[in-house]
Amino acid sequence: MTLHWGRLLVQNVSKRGFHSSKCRPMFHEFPDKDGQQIKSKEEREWEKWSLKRKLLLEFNLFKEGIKETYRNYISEFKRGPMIVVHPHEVDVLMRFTGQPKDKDKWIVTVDQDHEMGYSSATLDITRDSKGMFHGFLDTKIPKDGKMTRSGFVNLRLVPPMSPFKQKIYYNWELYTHIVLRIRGDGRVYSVNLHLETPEDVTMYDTYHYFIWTRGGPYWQHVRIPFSKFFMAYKGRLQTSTTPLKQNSIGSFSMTLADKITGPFCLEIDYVGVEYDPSHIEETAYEQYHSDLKIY
Amino acid sequence: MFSKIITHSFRFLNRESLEFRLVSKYNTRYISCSAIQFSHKQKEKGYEDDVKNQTENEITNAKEINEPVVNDDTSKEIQKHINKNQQLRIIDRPRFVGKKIIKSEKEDKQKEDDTEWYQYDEEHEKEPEEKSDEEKDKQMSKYTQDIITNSLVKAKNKNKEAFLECIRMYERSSGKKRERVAFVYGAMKYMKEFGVHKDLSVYKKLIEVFPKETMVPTNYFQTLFMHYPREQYCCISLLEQMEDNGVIPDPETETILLNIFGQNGIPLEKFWKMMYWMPKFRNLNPWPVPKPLPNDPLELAKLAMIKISSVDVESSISVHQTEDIEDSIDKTWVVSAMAPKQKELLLKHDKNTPIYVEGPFKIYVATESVDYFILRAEPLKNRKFPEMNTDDVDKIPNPYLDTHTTEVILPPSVHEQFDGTFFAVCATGMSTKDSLLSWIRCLQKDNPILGDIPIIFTLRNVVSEKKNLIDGGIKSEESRKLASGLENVNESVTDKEC
Repeated sequence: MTLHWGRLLVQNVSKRGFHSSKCRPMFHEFPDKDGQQIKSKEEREWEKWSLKRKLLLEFNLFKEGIKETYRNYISEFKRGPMIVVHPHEVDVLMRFTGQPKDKDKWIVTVDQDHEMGYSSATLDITRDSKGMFHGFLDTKIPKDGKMTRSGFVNLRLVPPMSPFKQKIYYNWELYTHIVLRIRGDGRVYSVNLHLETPEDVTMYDTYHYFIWTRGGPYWQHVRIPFSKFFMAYKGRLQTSTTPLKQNSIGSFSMTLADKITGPFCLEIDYVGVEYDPSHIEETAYEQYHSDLKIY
Repeated sequence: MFSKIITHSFRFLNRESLEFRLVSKYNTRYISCSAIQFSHKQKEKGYEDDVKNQTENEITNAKEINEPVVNDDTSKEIQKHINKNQQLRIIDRPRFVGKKIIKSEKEDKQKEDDTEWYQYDEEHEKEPEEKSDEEKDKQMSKYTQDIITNSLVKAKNKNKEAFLECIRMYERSSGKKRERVAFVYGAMKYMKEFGVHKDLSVYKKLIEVFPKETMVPTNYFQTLFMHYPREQYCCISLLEQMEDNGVIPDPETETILLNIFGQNGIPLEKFWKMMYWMPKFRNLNPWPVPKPLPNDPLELAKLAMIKISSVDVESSISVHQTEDIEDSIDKTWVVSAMAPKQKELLLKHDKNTPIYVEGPFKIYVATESVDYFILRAEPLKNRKFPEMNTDDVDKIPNPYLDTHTTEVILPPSVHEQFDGTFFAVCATGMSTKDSLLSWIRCLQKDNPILGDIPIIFTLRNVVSEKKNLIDGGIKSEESRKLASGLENVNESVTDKEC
């Protein structure tokens, strides 16, 4: 991304010349996550390539894209349109099968990557061919004078892509619940549904809910209705919660940030969605407007 | 959004007057202003010297004017001076160039010596930067510093009373209490040391440090432009600390805040948000824990066992003392959980296949962690399940004819998981091999079959994990491997028949 110079320019124009508050009013917010988006190894290598090689790669990707669209059309024709969903039948998003490919479907991010803390985490596959997300959560604050709190660990599913490598959204309009089969260690994990909209005002909108894991040797079957999810902007709770837009969910992730230093372990079997006809609730939170002007 | 920008601009005008602009380093156009104002304020000598130095500095950098700026004569010379400066500005440097761009360009442009304006900025970078608002707030005078150092830092008994006395000392002090913000920020740091970070009454006392009625806005404009912003920000950060520690405010805090900041204060917005959300999440935990958490490890172990055994409602928890058992070396307690269904499973278990004692694994009870062990057997391979292909239409069984079945296949219980059947769970005080041996002897009283079944102890070496705890996650890759735990598990297998 070549937004680095633009960011600097905007920051310097608005720097100390106009205001003197804590927050810095910016008219536009770039989608590079406050300049903390890290380029992958492949991306860095790609930048070194010659133009000819880049074009060749693009051409090959385009060819594969055409093939994939053809395959998708056929499979969709065979399956038919998604009109009817059987109740209590779990549509599995991702299941661990014990193959090393399963690791590539998840992204692990830690505060240490951005030099914002000292915690570490890895995703492994156990003997029983299940996913095991484990590591060490540390709430020690790095001494840079700006940070006031630290310690988070995140596990995100690779967001879905179209054959021509564009973002697609999960379409979960027909479903009512999100289903997980996990084995935790007694900590509280949060489930996040990211609405990755291109506008900068709603760019960081996410819907959260929590899982209180039992701990111990027994597996846990978790069903969370979509109506329970509440909206937050950059992790901050908002007073007015709107019902979750089930047709525009960008990606799914799980985080641990419960302010307890110590090792953690979360085993995952599968993640899926389910339709329950008895569940009619749209949101579990109040929808009326109060007289007080709170935004 | 737009109203916010206006507020910031107005605040700028109020607080930081023209004098601030004179001293501003990065814009040359204000030099002209300084010259004008100077003619009016010639007689104040201290002021004279300051501005003189500054103006001179800037002019020497520009390298075109060698004359001193300040003259006793009339405004004609001043006007000349203004004109020259304006010319300078146009020639020398683009105005929007700020500090950060120059920093990043530094490496590239050090080789090029052609730019003068670049050098100009470089010299000014060496000067100390202006402090941000937060740092200004946290700066204390000697007076408030003394109160905090004498009563909080040097306190012998760190109690609630000692903390409250510090607040009382501050309130008793004579004269205008100007540094309320600095005092509250300073006191907030020490709350955890004194063990009052989860006490609502202390938070209320801290909020009451702010004066009543003086900060309530009386105008429309005062509310719009954020009346007393530093006090409001301070109060918000205090409320946020309450939120982090899980302290839910009560209606009394609302009245206190209303008296201080009025109905349109931003701390009140924060308060209402807290009162909306925090009670919703208060009782969601399905395994509630007493508050405050007990420090005794036995009580914590009991809570952990209750948490694990909540799978089966029938399971019971029992506490054993190892002193009662013969041949026990370590003398501690053992908390074990077992259900009647698990006893039945033990009876059915084949006597030739071994059972494993595994652990220690970790479970968290609120903020504390407890190590636990399990008694496990490997899953049955020849387990029967009803074999039926539901898609096959040829062989649909007639429910009215085939009612007489000889075998009934029951569904598997909770304790028969696909990765093993679990017979019992325990936590011991020492979590050593000997204490586990005495645990099994305790179980043998109720389940005499355990004497016939071979039991294998496969205990993990926890040293690698403890190392990681001490280091606290260093950046090296070795520590990451240690944290993964799986790679450095040293299994010590010993066969012992009870």
